[in-house]
Amino acid sequence: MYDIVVKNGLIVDGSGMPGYRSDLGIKAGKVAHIGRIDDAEGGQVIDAQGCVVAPGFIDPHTHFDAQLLWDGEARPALAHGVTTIVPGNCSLSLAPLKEAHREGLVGMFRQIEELPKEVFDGTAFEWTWERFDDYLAAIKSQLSINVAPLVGHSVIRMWVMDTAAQQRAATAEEIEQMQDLLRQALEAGAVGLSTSYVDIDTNLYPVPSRWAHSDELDALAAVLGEYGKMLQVVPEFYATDITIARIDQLAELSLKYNIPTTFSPLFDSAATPDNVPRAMARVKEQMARGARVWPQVQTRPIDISFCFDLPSLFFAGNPAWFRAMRLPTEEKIAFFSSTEGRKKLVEAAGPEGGRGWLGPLVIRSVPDAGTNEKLEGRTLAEVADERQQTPAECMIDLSLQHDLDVHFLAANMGHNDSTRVGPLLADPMVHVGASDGGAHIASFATYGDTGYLFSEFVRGSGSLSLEQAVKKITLDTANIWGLKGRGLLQQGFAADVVIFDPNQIARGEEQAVRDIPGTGMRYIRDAIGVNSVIVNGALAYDQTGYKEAHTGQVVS
Amino acid sequence: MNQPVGQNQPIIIAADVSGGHDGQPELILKIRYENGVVGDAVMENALGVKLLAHCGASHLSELVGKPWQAVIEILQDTDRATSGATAPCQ
Repeated sequence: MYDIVVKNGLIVDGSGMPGYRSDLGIKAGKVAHIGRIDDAEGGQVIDAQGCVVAPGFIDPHTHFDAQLLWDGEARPALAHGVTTIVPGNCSLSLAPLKEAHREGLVGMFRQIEELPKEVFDGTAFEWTWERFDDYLAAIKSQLSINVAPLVGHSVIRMWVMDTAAQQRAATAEEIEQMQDLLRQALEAGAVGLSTSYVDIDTNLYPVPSRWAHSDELDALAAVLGEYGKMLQVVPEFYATDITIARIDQLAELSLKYNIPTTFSPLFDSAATPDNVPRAMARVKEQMARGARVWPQVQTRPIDISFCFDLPSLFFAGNPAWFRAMRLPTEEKIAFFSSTEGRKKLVEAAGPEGGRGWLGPLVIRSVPDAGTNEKLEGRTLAEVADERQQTPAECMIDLSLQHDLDVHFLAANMGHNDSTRVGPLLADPMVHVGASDGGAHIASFATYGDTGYLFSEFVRGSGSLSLEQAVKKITLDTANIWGLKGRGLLQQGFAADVVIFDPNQIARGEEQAVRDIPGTGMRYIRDAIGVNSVIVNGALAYDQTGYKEAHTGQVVS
Repeated sequence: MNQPVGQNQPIIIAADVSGGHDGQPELILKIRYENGVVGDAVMENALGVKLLAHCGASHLSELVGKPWQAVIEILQDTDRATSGATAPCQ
């Protein structure tokens, strides 16, 4: 007798092998049998006719550290079929953390995640921990998604060095203390250490990890070597030459201590078309030496957003608009309000008042959204047509009506050429990831990259087969991170399963929601085509909603 | 800043805007160095806007031919660059 039987699906088991029709029996949290199973043998039967039955997806780059304290499902990641997340990236985890250092770390988290301050002031959770194992205890009881946590280099540094963590290099004694702290975190269940050469705190000051000299990272990598655990790094991704130097540095650490390493993000841009090929060439050189240096590449294109209040480079290709945007606020408002100024800008916007240039922009947010919700998520062209205006006129009026605080989104401004990104994602030496789930929440949606992988690169460009795409975000990820017993539908493996319609799976439209504690908002994307998600043998989500299964585990 | 642009200093030979990791536009500059090597430099939105102002440029194409020194100056003195009223680059 099985707890759950999934019937009639196409088993795409994560290995990359061709899918096949079969049933899947789950018992005691594990895959118990794959083969023909009678209905009578199942406690709960899920009909997967027309659907793919695959291992749950694994997202290796997230910042759900805080959200997990009030939302053990990491919504909406679970609904997208993600059954395991890796939080604690970019040198930042919520533990180990002394009470005295909370405010400083919160500033760093708010800079990255854009969570409102009150989330950390007791509105959303109580600070019940200092040590890493106690943080894990705080999230464990309500987990409905698996968590493979990284411990952050910056917080380890803060614990040992206090304010000096953002002032100087560490002494030999301090480095030894950091090593001990890292050991404790790894013993408690951390899957590795994260560090960053890029991130800043809320005062725009480099985070503690950026003050470390190479001997400190070397010493910490030595501890990772004792456990064979991951080193995650954010390199200076905006500078290819430095990124290549970091690839070399990671390769040396990987070989010296026999550890896997990964860096993120690596993304393509038409403005710098040589960057990715150069970085990948160095990755392949180092992989050929036996080093493990996994570049994480996101699936989704990069969108940008802006408002009239601050000058944006979006307008730097249009002199009349760019000059107007650079005016001091009062002069700017006067210019946009004047008949002459408005006429100049509409003319400068191009044919039909910017239909081609401004028309596709999406209205992302309007300050008093309660009375203007019908505007958000729509294109300027749509709203302009409704108002019998040109897109330029509509944009100006909307901005003036709302004190220049209407935000617009320009989609596909980078990493958007599927003929380049598709083959990159398919490359065996590319680690599909870098979603940043749970970060940048007030700027753009970091959810649904898995759905986009299938809609754009399997059904769309055909860069990957269905089986290759599944493997990329299941078994490959589990193997890269050393997550034993996951990522594959095979007897004895954890029953993390996603059932989805291969012809439908996608990410929904970006939408603003106010579902986080306090007054903040975030952008999300709903899942499309995901029918059911099973975590450690229990149904955690289906099309009727989240199940609060509470079967998530800390995995490593 | 007022020194003539020649072969003895790095110059901007192309400029473009692209989406950055954090959802903000970035200014991508292609720089040719004194020894002929060409490399990229990326500037975040606010700094890119300041550079354009500092150079008296209202269009990306107007950055072409400007000295790399302009970037150094706004990095050293962002307040001065914000006004856009100081000596424009040559």
